[in-house]
Amino acid sequence: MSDIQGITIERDIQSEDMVVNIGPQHPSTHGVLRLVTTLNGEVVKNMEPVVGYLHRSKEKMGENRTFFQYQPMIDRVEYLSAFYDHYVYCTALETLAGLDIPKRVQYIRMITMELNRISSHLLWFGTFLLDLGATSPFFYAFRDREKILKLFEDISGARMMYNYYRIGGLNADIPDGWIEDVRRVINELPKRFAEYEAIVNKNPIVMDRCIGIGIINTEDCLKYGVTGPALRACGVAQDLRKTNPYCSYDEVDFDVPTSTDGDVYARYQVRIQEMYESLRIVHQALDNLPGGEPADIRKLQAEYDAVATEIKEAKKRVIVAQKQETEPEPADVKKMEEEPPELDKDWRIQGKKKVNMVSFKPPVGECMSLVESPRGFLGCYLISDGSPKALRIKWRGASYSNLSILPSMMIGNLYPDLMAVFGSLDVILPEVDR
Amino acid sequence: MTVGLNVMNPYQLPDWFIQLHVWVSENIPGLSFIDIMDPWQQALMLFVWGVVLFVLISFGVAKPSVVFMVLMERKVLAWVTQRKGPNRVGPWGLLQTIADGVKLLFKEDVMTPGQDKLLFTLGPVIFFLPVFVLFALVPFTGAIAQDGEIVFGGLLGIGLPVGALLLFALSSISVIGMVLAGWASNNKYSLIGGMRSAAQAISYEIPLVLAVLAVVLYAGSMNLMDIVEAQRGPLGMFSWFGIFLMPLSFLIFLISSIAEVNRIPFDLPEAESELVSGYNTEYSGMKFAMFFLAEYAALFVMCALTVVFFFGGFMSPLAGATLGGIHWTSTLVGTPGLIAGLSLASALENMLGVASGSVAPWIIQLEMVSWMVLKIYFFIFFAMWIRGTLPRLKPDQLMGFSWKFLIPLSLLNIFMVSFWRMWLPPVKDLESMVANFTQNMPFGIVWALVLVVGIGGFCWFMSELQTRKLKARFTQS
Repeated sequence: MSDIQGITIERDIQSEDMVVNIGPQHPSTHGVLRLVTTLNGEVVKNMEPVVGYLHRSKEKMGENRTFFQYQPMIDRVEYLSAFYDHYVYCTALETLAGLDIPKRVQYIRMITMELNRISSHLLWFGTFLLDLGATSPFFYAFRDREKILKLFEDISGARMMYNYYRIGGLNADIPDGWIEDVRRVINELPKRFAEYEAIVNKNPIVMDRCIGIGIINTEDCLKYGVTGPALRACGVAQDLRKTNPYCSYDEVDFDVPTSTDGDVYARYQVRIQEMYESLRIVHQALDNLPGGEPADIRKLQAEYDAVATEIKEAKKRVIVAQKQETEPEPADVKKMEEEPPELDKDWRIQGKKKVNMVSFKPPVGECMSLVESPRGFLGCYLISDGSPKALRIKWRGASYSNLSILPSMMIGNLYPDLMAVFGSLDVILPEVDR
Repeated sequence: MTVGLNVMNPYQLPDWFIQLHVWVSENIPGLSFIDIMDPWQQALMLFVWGVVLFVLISFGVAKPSVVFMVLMERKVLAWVTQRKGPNRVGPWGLLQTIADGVKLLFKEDVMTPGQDKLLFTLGPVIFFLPVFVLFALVPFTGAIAQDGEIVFGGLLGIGLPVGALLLFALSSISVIGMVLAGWASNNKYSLIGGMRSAAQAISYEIPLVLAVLAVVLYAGSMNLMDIVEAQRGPLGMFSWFGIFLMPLSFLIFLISSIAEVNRIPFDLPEAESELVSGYNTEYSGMKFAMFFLAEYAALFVMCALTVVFFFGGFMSPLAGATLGGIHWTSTLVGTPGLIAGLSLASALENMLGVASGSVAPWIIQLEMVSWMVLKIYFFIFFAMWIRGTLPRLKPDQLMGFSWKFLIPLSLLNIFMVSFWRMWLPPVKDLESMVANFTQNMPFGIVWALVLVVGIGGFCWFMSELQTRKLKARFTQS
C-alpha cells in the first residue's frame, strides 16, 4: 500500500525499480543538476541531488584578487539577480570599513534591486510554465524581462553582468531620462502581470498540477534552511526587507505577500504578488529619489562650481594683492570669507570619504551581510586581515538550501510532479555550485 | 458503349473509368488481355486503380501538406508568442521546411551500442506507414453524377463500406511503432515515453471510437461518403449534428483526436521537460524525420476526419439548404451509395436556370477540394492554437480524464443520439423536418430533459468531485 496524493493504490505485483539519472544534461534541470532518481513506475521512491557540475571556485577566487578585482566575478555567482550579489558584497565591505552611504545611492540601489527581482521572477515565471509544458508564457515573460534588461543596460552597460555598485557608492550616476524610462516600464508592467494571471491562475490544468503538490511546512523549512518565497508560501512572513530593513527599505511602504498552503500553487502566487509589491517599491523610490533627475544635479553642481571658482579667484586676487602690498578689493575680501556651497551629501553617488578602489584596505575584522534576494537569504561572509585581499569569502546562496529540501518533497510523488516542484523552488545552479 | 455497360457493370464503375481501361487495353501492348466486361477483371482493376489513386493521394496530398503544416505551425506559434517565425529561407520563410528536410536527409544516422537494431529501424516505419494509408481513406471530393450516371468517382483512394472501421483499426497500429521505438532505444526516457504512449493510445481510442459510433448510428452507415452525404440538410452543413445535434460528440472527438496525435496538452510520450524528447530521444536523421512527418500527417488526417464526421466534409457550408428563395442543393442527384456534387457551382446553375451539367465536372471537383482543405486547415489552426495556449497534463490526470470523464460522457452521448434519431430522423427538406418536430414533440421534450439532466448533472458531478478532491488536499496539508 502506498499513498500518492490521497489516492491509495494497492499493488500485488512487485516490479523492479528503475534508476533514472535526470541530468546533468536535461532540459528542465535549469543548468547542470543531476538527480539520481529511483522510480517505481512513475512514482519517485528515492531522489538524490548531485551538485557541483558548475563549480568555478568563486570563493577561492576572492582570496586571490583584490576587492576591486573580485567584483566582476560576483556577477557570475548568480547571474539572474546579480545586483543582489553586488549589494551584499559591497555592504559587507562598507560595514567593515565603516563607510556612510549617501541616500541617493541607497535609493538607486533599491530601485535596481527591485527591478532585478521583477526580472528574475519573470524568468522564473516563464521557465516554470515551460516545465509544465506551456510554451507561450515563456516568450511573454522574456518580452517583458527584455524591457527591464534594457533599463539595466542603460544604467550599467551590461544586460546580465552589471558590475554597477562600488564600495561606498555607485559606478556612475543614472543616465538622463532613465527615470522616465523606468516609469514607463513600471506603468506598463501591471497590465502585463494581469494578463499572465488571466492566462495561468484559473487554468484547470495548471491548478490541477500545482494545487496540493510539493507541500512543505514551516518546520521542514526551518530544518533545511529554506528561505524566500518558498518560506513565505508556508505562512511565515519572513522578509529581511521588513524584519531587518537594510538599504532604505524602512522608508518605503510595501507588504510581504504570504500564503498558508505551502504547495506549488502557493509559491507561484507569492512570487506573482511579490512582483506587484516590487513595483510599488520602485514607484515610491522614484518619487522620493534624493536629487531627482541627474541633469538637475549637474546644473546645481555647475552653479556651485561657478561660485566656488569665484571664491577661489577672489582668494587668488587677494593673495596677489597681499604680495604686491596693495589694498585688496573689499568685495574680494568679503567673497573670500564665504563658505563655498556644497551639494547635499544625500545627493552624491559616492560617500564623502572617497574610496581608492585599487588600494582599498578594510580594517581587520569579519562581517556577515544578508539580503533578501528573489530566491531567499543571500549572504556574504567576509574576513579581512587588513590587506587588499580578503582572507576568506563565503557565499550563502538561497538556492543551495532550497534545493536540499527537494528529495523530501518528491519522495512518494509522481515523476511529472518533479518538474512542477523543482520549478517552483526557483533554483539556479550557478548559485548552488558557485 | 454506355448501353452495353449498364448491363455488364456490376460494380457501378464510372464512365471515365471504363474509358480509361478501354484506352489502356487498346493502346498499351501487353495489357490487351484485359476484358473490361468480365466482372472479376473489373473488380481487379478497381483494386489496382484504387492502389494507384491511393499512392497518388497519400504522397501527392500528404507530403506537401505536412511540409506546409510544419511551417504553418511555426508561423502560428510565432504569432501566438509575438515573434516573427522563420523568414530567412525563401520568401516569408516558405522554403524553411525543405531546408530542414534536406538537413535531416544528410544527417548521420546515429546508433548507440545496446540498441536492438532491427526494432530500432522498424519503429519509425511502423509508426509512419499506417498514417499514410489513412490518407487514402479520407474522401477529399465526392462523385459527380449527371442524369443518374456517375461521370467522376471522386478523390478517394479506398472507398470501403466499412471505411470508419478500417480507419480506427489502422490508426491504432501506429502505437506499436512508438512502443517499439521506446523499447529498442536502450534509453530510459524513451522507454517511459513508449509506455506512456501505449497507455494513452488505449485510453483515448475508446472515447474517439465511441464519439464516431454516435455519428455512424445517426448516419446509418460506416461509409465515409455516406456520412458526408447524410450531413446535407435544410440548414446546409449546420443542419446535421455538426452544431445542433451532437456538439458533445464533436467535443469528445476533438479532445480525443488531439490526444491520439500526441499534441499539447496530451503530448506526454514526448514531454520535453520530463523525458527530454520521449520515445524519439535517440533518433536522428531520416528516422527522426519519419516520426516528425508521421506526427503531422496524423494531425492532418485527424482534422480531415473531424471535418468529414462533423462539418460536412467536402460539401459547401450551404449544401442542401434553402436560403433566400434559392434551393442550394445541386440538381446532380447522386446514385445511392455514392455522393452527389453538392457545391456552390451547381447551385449557381440552379440559380441562373442553366441546364444542369453545364458546369464542368473539374470545376466542381476543385470547389469540393477547396472546401475540404479550408475546413481541414481551420481545425489544424485550432490544434496549433491550443498548443500555444495550454500546459501539459500529468499521466494520472490524463488517464482519469479519459476513463472517468470522456468515456461515461460518450456513452451518455450515444444514448442521447439514439433518442434524437428516433425523434428527428435525418431528412432532406425543411417541411418534413418541421413536421417531424411537431409530431414528435413529447419525444423531444423527454430528449431535452435527458440532455439537460444527464449531461448537465454529469458535468456538475465531475466538477464537484474535483473541487472536493482539491479541498481534501488542502485540509490534508
